[in-house]
Amino acid sequence: MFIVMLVQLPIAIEVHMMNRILPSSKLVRFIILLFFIPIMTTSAQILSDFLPKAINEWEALGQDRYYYPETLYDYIDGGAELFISYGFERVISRTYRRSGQPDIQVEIFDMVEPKNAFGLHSHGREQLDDTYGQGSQIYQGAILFWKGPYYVSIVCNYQTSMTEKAMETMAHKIDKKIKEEGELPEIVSWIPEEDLAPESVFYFHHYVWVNAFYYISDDNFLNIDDKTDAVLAKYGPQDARYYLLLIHYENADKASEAYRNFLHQYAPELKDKQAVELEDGKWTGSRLDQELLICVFNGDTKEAVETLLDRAQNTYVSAKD
Amino acid sequence: MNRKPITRRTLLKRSALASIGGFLYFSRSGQTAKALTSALPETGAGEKTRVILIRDKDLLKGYNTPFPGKIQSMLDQAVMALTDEKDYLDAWKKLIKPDDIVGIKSNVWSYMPTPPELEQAIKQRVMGVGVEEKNIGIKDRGIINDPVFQNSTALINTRPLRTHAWSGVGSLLKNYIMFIPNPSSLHGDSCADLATLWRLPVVEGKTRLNILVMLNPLFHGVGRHHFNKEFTWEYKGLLVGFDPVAVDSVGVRILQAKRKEHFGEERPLNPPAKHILLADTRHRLGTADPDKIELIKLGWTEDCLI
Repeated sequence: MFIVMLVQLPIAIEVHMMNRILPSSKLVRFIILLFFIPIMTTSAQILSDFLPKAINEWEALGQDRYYYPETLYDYIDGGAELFISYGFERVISRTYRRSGQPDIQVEIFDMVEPKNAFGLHSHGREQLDDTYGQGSQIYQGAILFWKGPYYVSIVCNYQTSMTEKAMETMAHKIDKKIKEEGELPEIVSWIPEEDLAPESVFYFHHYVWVNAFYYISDDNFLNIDDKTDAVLAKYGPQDARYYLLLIHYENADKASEAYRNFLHQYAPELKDKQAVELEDGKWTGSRLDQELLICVFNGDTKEAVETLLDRAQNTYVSAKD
Repeated sequence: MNRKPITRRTLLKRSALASIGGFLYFSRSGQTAKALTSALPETGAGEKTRVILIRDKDLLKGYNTPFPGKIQSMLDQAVMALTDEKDYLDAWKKLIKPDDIVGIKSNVWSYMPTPPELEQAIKQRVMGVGVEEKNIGIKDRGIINDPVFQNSTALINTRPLRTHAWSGVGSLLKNYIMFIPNPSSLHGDSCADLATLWRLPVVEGKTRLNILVMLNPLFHGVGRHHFNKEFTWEYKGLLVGFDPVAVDSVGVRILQAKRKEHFGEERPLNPPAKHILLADTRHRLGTADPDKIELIKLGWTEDCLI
């Protein structure tokens, strides 16, 4: 009976996932598997339940494929690390085919937490769009959106009027199937709105993304990791951008250490000042408030930098009160 | 902290790094750096590393698909300019000997592979200098088990330029990552130390030519595979040189310029292509410094962005 159940498991990959966490004893593994099989089956079916069986005569081709952090490299040549840096846990991949039309490839990435799915969405976002899910990006041959802890990708290699329509229908259906919505990371609410380019808000918790808008350092002296929340945002017109960086640490001690590192490695002058003019004539400022480190870069004037520091700090303090 | 970080402040303050890091990280030019290629002509004191940019307005018959005769001609002209030879065969004879075993390391990334027309153009010329066909391999995946690559005496490195979600760009330096069995082992710190690949015994000192394909470069990535044709453009060029660091650094400058043009504002590569800077400053593989590079432009120059 057990063997039959095991064979009938729709997604054997979930067993693979359990293998990673189960003890090596065969007897113990057998007992645990027996106990957890109903849960595993439910869990395994969640992602595939979001996907329609067919759309506008496009039908699912072959079996669904699943990938995990250690196998994502096999699937995404050159892009896996981006997803892994946002806490990626697993992805379902399904191909839809209709005769005479390009294939449509659909993936739903389980990013575990809504903040990770939002972060991935905010990475490279060019404009605000809420056509699908909680935010979408639409390109020729690609619809990308996030909802709850999921990041959804619908792409085809070249777009026809028929693929475009099918992809839109697909996106609507998946959006509707995913009931769960997620909240934006709290740190996003601490970004002052005045003079902000709203589409630029970029959330992350891996240090490699800290240079996204403005090169700061090749090293992680700000100690950004999975336990910190960080956000970058652009201010001002395109030809005179200045940038806000907020990093929220686990505790005030860690924030203080990062602040000291920033002064030591980047701008020792800020020990005595709110803002300093760098060698390129642009102004930089930094401030610490409990667990929050606030930095402003590339200001044209001292006043612009100090005003943004004030606004960010006030927004944070108001939110915490 | 094991080493002093390279911050924007470091680059602004230290002229020795400003020109190399400046252009890589925030489009700034300057001076300095050293040069040492892994294989051919070592530049002398004050001598510059030559990089050839060649373009042809009528090169493409489709996306990433050149007319075979035109790509052959461009390749020959580039090699002649690189070697100061007037005859293409004489130029190729400076690079390859008849008894060489030649691995042509290409790239199979499905959205933007090394064009087969270019692979064949290279092969034609390698055979033209007298190398037997059985001693020529063209491959990307599987080179660690390929007898031609494992026994090679000469390598030719070629691939298209594109932005990359983790290393900033996919370019010549990164193209040798298939020489190790576990490529992801070099992913740490956004692929900072890719230059170490060039010190592998199977690689070191063998690279005779580097060809960065600039037919339809990808200047921005979106989505799960970091590709959308919207962010490619018809540049219709090749960058050719002996020093992979120098060729890559020229390629990155073109990408940065395209990003600025497209987005209407400074848009640094995300993440920065730090492995190119470190290939120069940490690993001494070549020069990334624009002031140490002699860039020769041939053919179509409109909108060349550099």
